[in-house]
Amino acid sequence: MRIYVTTRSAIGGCQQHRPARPLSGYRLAGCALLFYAGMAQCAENATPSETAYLDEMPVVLSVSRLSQPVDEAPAAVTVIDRQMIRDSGAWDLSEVFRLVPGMYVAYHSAADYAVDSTVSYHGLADAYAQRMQVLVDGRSVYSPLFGGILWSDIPVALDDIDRIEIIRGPNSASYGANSFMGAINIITRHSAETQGKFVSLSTGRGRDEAIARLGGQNGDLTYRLTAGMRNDTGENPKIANPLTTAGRWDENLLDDKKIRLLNFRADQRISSIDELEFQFGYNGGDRQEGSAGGNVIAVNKRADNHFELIKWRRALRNDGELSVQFYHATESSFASTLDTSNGNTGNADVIADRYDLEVQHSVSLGESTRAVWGGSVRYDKTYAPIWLDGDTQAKPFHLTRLFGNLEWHARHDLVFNLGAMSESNSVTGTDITPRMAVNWHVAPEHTLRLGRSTATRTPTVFELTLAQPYLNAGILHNPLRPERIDSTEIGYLGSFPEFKVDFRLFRDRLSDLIAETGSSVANDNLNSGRAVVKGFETQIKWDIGKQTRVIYSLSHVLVASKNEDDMSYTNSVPTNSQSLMLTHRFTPNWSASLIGYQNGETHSPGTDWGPDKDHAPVYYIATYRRWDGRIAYHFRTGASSGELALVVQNLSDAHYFEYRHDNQPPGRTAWINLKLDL
Amino acid sequence: MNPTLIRRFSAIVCLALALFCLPLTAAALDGVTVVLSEEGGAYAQVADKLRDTLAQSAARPPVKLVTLRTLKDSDSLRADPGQLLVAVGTGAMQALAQQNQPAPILNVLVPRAAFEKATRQNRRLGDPHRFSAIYLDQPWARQFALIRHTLPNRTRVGVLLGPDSAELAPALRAAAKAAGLVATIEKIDEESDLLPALKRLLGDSEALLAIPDPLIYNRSTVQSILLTTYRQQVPLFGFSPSYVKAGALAAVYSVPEQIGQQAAEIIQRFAADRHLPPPQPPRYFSVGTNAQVARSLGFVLDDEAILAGKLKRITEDEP
Repeated sequence: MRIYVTTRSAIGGCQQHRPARPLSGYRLAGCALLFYAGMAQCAENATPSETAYLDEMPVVLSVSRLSQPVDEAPAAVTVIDRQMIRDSGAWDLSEVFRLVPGMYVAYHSAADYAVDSTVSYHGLADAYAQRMQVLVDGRSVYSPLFGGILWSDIPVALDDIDRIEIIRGPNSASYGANSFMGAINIITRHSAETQGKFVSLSTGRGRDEAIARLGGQNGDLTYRLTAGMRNDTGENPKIANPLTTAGRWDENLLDDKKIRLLNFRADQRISSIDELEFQFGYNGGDRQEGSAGGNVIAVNKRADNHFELIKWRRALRNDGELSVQFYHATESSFASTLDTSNGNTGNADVIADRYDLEVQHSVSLGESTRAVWGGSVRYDKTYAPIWLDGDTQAKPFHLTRLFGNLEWHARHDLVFNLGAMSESNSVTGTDITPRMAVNWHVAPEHTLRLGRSTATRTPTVFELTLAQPYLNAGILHNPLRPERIDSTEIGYLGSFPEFKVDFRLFRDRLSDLIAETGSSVANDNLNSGRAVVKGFETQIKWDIGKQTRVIYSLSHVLVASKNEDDMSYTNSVPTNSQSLMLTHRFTPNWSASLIGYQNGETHSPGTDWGPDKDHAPVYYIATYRRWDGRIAYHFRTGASSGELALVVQNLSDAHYFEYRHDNQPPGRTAWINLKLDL
Repeated sequence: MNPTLIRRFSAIVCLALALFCLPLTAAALDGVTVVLSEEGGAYAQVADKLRDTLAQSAARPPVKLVTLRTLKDSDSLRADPGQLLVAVGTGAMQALAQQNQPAPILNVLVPRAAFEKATRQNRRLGDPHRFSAIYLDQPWARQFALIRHTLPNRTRVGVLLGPDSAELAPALRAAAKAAGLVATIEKIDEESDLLPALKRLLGDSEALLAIPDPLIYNRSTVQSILLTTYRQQVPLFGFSPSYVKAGALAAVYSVPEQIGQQAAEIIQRFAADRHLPPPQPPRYFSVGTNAQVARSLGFVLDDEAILAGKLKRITEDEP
């Protein structure tokens, strides 16, 4: 279990002890290369010669490519690798997070903007799950308008992902604001790892997908192009066994999706220490939104998301690294609203642009200390007149950051991490969020971790706009402040020959939570929410023999809150939830997995009234269980290999709700997937 | 007879006498000519170390440095039999072997395969006392010993071989077995087979040993190989310090100075008995480890010097 080092905290620490050697091999090879640069292309020379021994090689596994051991990370981390993603039978990216302890994943086709899943850690989530940061290859995909993540709109193919690291707990010190309850780091494969041709074809009830990838190399340049098409009819229009037919409680929301995907990545080796990465991605297509019978629905919505990223890395002496990254991302969708009562239409277009430049430097300070520090500037602009008070001017947002982390190996069994982020933005001013952690290797393979961390969540453009008229009118005198979390945790990591366990006790104090309700306006305090979230969670990996593995997670979370201003935090997170994945390889050709999820009762804020509003609150999402299964046949023909898999979600055909009464997953759903490496 | 003729005549007489007396003065080494394949770089480092070491020795034979390029320009090297030629690098070795030099030749900074090819091509087989070498490559036993000492719990070592190295398979298997390891070997014929073969190999390997083969290990493939092995958490053992820097877990290698030191010692013995020893592996070597890679993969490695010490003891214990 490891975490990726771009988690700035998680920098490589233990120093190489190099006794002073008069014969420094590195320097020798370096000198040799300078002279023999011309001889580097010896590949086709049939006469064996010494050049193979003298040639300089590019620094491939530079610090930022290396994962930090989980037991030295300053936070709890869950790693989901490619095999786990595949074994889980996930259709959507968001589904894989069901395997993470404490993570709440609910399919949610909100009527407003985010027709998607809500993924939150330790609850308190509304439809947009604003309190978690998500990065893809170092690029934030956190949506500026409502916050949260539009999971189906991320330009990334599941098959291009190398692994996902989930930092359980606040991590503003590394990732800045909105890494509030947790952070997710999605890392795609290097283009040198995706050479050749690959196709993946799926077909099943209500879902079809085709993905094709081509990877190539030209000298020091490696690249890949991934294209994909997905048609997904989502939920059934009608709910099976509805609680009532009143108030349209027998209808699911509209959620058909067509996803067109194009991703390009190129990695250019400039010298043995310099590398340039370029990425381009597109995700677009028709998406349904709203309810068939609602008064106002968005029709003909078309998503159009893309990004461009360029990153330069240079490996420095003594395991240091310097990187500069720039990206631009556009999250946009184009739609008209239709008021079915009078036939009026409106403009529901949303265009959000983000420009971000970041510089990061990591360096060894002596034998036992490493530091990483850097800074970034960001500019967001959001155009969404329908949500932003009719304003057709894009709303600007400026952000500058300075961050640093010091990792000190005080003794061979003791690692201290001290980090902080200073952020200034154009709406709430400056915040400094520190983090401290100490990891003590009590015995080999047994580590105790004690950590304290703070984080903030910046009010979204929507929240700011909603408050503005009251401020202008003098009804409100206090502008919105960022939400705050102060977290304390004790973690244990144990590694036994066949068994790995991660246990965490946590207590998070949340304050200044944003509540934009009538009473909070009347009290002149939109940051009235407070809550204490505490509990424990565990994650276990158990290899039963060579062919069988069990991955289990359990979380127990309690929320204490006065639920000020009609916000219902207390029951917004399942008290108990668990997941289990059993995988087994029967023969080298046949393998299977069985995955079970159980989510406790959840009262999401703003959804706990019943169909008959006079008798509110009566409605909540009851405890539910779901079983998924997957069976795969692996084969090889000549130089190509492949896998044919049957995936069945919701094996027991359970009819249950996720997040809200108008989200009933479509019962047992099966599809066949063929993957070919050509 | 004019004085000039007398001088010439006496010179010829003296030379004849000198030649006649040569066997009696066999212990004396007239000089060492070091021929570098190229100027500077590792070649010069070998030569510098050799010269410095000899300068401090008792015999202190004169050392002359020439590069292959100047040699070709003037074609002037006619080393007399009292000289010792040291060829640094494969280029110098091939050039000198073809010239049919009367002087004995010690070849250094050359891979074993290159030396063996040169002996075959130039019919110098069976002439080790006059055409010998210090190989640049480490003996298999030493390389497998490094794997055993860095990863005591791992036994299955994968090796990728290409067309130029395929013939090494039996020797590799035997050496691995002798070290208590099992070598799994995949052979490829073209570069497009590389990654599929590597993936097959990694499924059944706990470590990967890199063997120089230009088809497999070069600047454009090293990236895919290192990334793929790292993702599978299979550490790579390289063959040069450059590989350690690139991301190999460890490597055992000899740097040019170490080769120069060994060459100087051979020359000192040669000065005494006029015999070159048989071709031999490097006597002095270093171990390089990549601490960041080790830490990331969860290995606790000994210090480089301690590992080198352990390997040295093993080598010395061998017959």
